[in-house]
Amino acid sequence: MSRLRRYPMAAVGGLILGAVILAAAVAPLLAPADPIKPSFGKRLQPPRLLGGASPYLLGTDNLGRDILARLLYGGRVSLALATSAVVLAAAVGVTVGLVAGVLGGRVDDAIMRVADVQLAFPVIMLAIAIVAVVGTSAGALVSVLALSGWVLYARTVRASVLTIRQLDYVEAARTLGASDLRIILLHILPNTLAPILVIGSSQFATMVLLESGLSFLGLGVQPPQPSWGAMLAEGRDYLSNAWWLATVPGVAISLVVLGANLLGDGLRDLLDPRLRQ
Amino acid sequence: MVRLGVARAQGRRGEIIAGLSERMLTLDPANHYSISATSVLRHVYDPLLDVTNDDKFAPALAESWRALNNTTWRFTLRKGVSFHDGSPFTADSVVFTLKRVRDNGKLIKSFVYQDIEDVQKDGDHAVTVTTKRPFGSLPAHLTMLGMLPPSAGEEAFFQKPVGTGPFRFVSWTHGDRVELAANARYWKPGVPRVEKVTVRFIPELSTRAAALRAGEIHVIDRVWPDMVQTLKATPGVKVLDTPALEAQRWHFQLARETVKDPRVRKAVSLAINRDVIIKDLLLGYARPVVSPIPPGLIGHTNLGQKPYDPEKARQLLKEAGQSKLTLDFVLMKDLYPKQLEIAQAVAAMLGEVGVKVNIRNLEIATAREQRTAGNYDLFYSGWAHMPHDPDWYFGQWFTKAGAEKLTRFSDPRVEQLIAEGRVPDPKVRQQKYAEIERILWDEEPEIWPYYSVAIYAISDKLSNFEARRDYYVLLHEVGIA
Repeated sequence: MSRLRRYPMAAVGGLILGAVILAAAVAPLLAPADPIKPSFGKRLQPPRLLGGASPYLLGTDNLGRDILARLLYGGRVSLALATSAVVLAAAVGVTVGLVAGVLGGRVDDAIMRVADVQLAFPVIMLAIAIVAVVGTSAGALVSVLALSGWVLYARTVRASVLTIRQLDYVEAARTLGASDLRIILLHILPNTLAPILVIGSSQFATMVLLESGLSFLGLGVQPPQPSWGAMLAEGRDYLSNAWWLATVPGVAISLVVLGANLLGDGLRDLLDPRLRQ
Repeated sequence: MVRLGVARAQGRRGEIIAGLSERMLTLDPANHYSISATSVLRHVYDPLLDVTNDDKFAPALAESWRALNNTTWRFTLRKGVSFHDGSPFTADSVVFTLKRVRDNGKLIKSFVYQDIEDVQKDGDHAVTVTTKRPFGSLPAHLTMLGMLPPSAGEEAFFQKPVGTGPFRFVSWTHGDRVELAANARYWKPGVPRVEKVTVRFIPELSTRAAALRAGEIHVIDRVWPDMVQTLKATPGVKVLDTPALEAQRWHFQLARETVKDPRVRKAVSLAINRDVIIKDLLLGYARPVVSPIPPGLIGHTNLGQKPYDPEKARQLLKEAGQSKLTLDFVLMKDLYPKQLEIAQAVAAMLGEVGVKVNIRNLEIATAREQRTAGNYDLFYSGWAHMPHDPDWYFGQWFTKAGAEKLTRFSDPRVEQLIAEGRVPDPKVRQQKYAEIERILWDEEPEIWPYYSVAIYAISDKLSNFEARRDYYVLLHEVGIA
């Protein structure tokens, strides 16, 4: 905890992210109204937060739905998809990175070339192509997002493995007759965890953005289910007469991205042994 | 200088810049069914007939026309008209234009003109068209077909085309703008009223509206109801609206087990509160439907509004054994203004009677593939009756051949009536079409939620601008202060 105090930005980031995640998690308790059911007579009411006369804290959207409720439920969708994608990307990336690093040789070459090919594709293009073929189910979205993220882990873990492999304690374990698997799981993996955590937290920001981008393009969660990107897209048409439709989800996305980035930066410093005293 | 003096004398001055929502893709009047291309090309080419905003046919290059019998049309042509390159307009031009569109199967409009048997000139200023079967909608279709000089080739001509229209073609920057200059020798006195017209293509409404409000352009089409207040409050901007020749229509996939049952289709129709869509979502900029085709078209018959009765809908679904129904509602992404909003409202309304709706908002090409494959229950679509005649709509959607890859509609009674309704006699057509409409109204192979209203916004410097029901933006008789 004392070290956390030396990195206040990480704490701020963690707090923002924690608050948003918590709010989304307990959305059913917090949401003042049904996020899906339209109330046609109450369209486009301005937010009470800014002095509007309506009872809606963040106003209503083009179908008279409470924006706060949609924001909370949309957050569940956006954050859950992003989290699943980060976990899946990390799982795949770490496994592949370990395999490449430990086995080396042709396996390593093959995996790294696949990673290069993957990096050569613009993520959004790839996502559009895949979603167009397999559709917009949650599973497909998570896979698309994860596909864009695994390379980062694979490369980092592989690099760590190559360094750690040469270290004395690994040599020692090997001399004592430990199996490859045991060495990987007990001696190498724990020492690669720090960079994985850092990548994971900053990638979370990227994933939220990407998911919003896909939903904005209509490739994500299908309406009437709320998601931040889709709310942004629907609000775009109303910017000139009801700015809050797009602004509210826009602010939410910015906050989460800011939080995750601050946390990632802080974690990097926090976990970097060279910065430890 | 002399010409400028003449122009001044006729009161011709200034430039009008229009912002259209749809990009133009061709300068060939026979190779599109685009509203923006029809608008733009009407300035360069004259058709044989024009159609007025109240759906009357008016002389353009043809001074008069009549049906000699069920399969023969005769057109008497205007004399003393010349193309922009100076060559005279004669019957050869008409023969060439009509035979070209019939014979060149690559042209998008070719299929419409397949019924033409022969086109014969009778002297320099009369033409007789004979058809293989009755072709009563020929005059309507001809309002959309600009006449070409007989010397027109293919590719090269359409790079820099000449017509007899009120404006000469100057340049076209693909996807961006078309520039036109006044034809000082136009046959109609006092037309055009400006020296120059520029048409810019600006698909995004907010950009289009911003350009108008900033005074960069003088007229925009396809304004959304939600934008009207903002535009009306802008000094120097006027908003015009008119009932459009467009019916929104969401068609069922009639081969699907679920919606094959007319009781299910009726239930869906009964569960939709059209009033809410019109009043709350479209802010009154739409009209209730009383027939599959909008008023003004030949055959339109008022059959009364479709009722909203969720109770009856539930009951019908129960009778049909479909109390747990799920429908796929396919949309072509971003094609119709506010479509996603309306689709969500409909999903909620159907939810009230126990029908679950999966909205599938797909890329346009993907959506069309899904439609061809029959992978939908309900498909979001509209139909603008561009030739001011319902024959095309009926032929496309309610004949077995037309609907084969669309809705799978097939009804021998309707098929027969459509064929009988092709004769030139308007009384016969009116009667046959009324009968078709009654059958469709009863069977509900489509949901007709509302007739659209066309909204335009213009600069108050413009005079004589007409808000067209067919969404055309025509500027030859418009002046600018």
